[in-house]
Amino acid sequence: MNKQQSKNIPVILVVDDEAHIVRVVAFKLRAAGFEVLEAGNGEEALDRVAERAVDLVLTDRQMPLLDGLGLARRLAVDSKTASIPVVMLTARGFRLTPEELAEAGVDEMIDKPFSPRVLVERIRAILDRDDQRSQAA
Amino acid sequence: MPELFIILLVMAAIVIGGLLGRHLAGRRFAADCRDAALGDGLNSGKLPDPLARLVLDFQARFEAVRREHVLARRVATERADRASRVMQGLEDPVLIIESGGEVREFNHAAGALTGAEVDTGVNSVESLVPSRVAAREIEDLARGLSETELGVVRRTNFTFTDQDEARTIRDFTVTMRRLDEADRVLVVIHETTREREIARIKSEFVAKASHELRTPLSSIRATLEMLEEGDLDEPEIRTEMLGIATEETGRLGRLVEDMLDISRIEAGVARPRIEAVDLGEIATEVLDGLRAAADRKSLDLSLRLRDEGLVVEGDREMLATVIGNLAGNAVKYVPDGERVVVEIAPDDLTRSVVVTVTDTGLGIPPDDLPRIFEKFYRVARYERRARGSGLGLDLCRNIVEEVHQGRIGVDSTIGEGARFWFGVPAKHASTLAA
Repeated sequence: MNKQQSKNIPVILVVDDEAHIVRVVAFKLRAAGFEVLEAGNGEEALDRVAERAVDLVLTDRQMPLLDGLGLARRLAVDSKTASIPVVMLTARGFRLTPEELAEAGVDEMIDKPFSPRVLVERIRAILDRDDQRSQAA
Repeated sequence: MPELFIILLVMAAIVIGGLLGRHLAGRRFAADCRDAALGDGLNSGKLPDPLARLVLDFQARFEAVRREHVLARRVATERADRASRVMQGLEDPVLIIESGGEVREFNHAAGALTGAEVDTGVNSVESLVPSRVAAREIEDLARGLSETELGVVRRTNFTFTDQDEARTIRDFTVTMRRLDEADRVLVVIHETTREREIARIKSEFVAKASHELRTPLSSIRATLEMLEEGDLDEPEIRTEMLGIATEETGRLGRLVEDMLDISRIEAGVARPRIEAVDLGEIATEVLDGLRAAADRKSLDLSLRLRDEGLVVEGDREMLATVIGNLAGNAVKYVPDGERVVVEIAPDDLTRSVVVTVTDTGLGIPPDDLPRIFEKFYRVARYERRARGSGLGLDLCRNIVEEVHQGRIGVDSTIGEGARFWFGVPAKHASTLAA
């Protein structure tokens, strides 16, 4: 069902407790042709994912209630959401090793402050890669 | 010939006298010589004048040397006692390793490391140093030092875990130097657990601060890039995004200001301007500044100055920051239409003036209350309501407690709001008049 949707307009869920970041990122992603859902923390994000099919989750690392890593792990253990790629925004001091990223089910990490243009490029690359994989399969 | 014999006799007497003088008999011998010289000898004419003078001279010199010797011994004993008291009084563990590797002297602090008693005689390094690996290394270093010049220093460090319930990991540095020609080695152990803890707190603060700085920077950078790349050509969107960037720039500035203020107070270089200030006056000004924000949320923001005698000795600007932060937080976090009351009254019992900021907002969960004054600590349920620097309450605590020797606190019941308060010592009426 996820893949079906991504053929049309990909749906990105933006998760951050910083309302301004959500606003700025959502604007850029919409301008780039994505549909955007918003959530203020990991718990809210899980609610959104349960309501609608999502093609990619872009999440902050540090958030109240359920942080970015916790969210990625919860998505990874659920077979319905395990295939959703996760991109995490983080401050450099909290950078993880590739092993830790893989363990948490995070596809990519982007340092703050980030370039919205590069963010869009990375998201497109991940969605294209997943598209090719699903076509190959 | 008889003179030569007598001189030899006297010289022999001096030598014998010197030897005997080391024992207390010396004094008696000298007296005998004197008697011999002045008494029988002189009177009977057996000893001539020059010899009598020689004996007297000998006696005077002998007495001087004896006194010097006694004095030197007393000084040496006193010095040794003082050195021992100094060593025992040191807070750092100190031990002296003999050339054979055994320890005959160590201080109470060293004994406390493993519970060894100071007067137990000969100990091994291993019985005094709580880490076996470290003990071996110290022994090896001590052996190596015996082949070096005096004054050469060797250093090492070790860690061990306390065997008590807390299982604290303790860090130590060890400084060793050759003490004397007898190849004894002085070992000074210094605990660095606290230093490491401070370094950890500092590093954690820098990591958190870096995250807090990057967040507003992200919005600012994103807006600038979008502006540059023509994403914000639509005037309405441009205004909104630039508004966000401006707001975040202000936040960045406040964060840096708060960080500087706190670090200055914590480092003891804040240089407050202490004078008689009326907290009622300060609060009136501060609340005037908050009025517009309160009106936007239809809040009932009021000030109650209960009495006269609201004068304290303090730094006007800093106290305004405290009232501004506490009242500002209430305005920021309570839902629209709620009430915020700032009340100032003297407290006779504690001889202080107490400022209370009470709101009818959501209240603070009990779990968050004890940590709310920590740097960058945020109450999760308020995360989305507003964002500050995360340092405001820590700055308030620093200003009240460190600069003004006052007290600050909070109590709250969920659903009923919160009450933040602080008290600073009141200025005495008598000193006020002066």
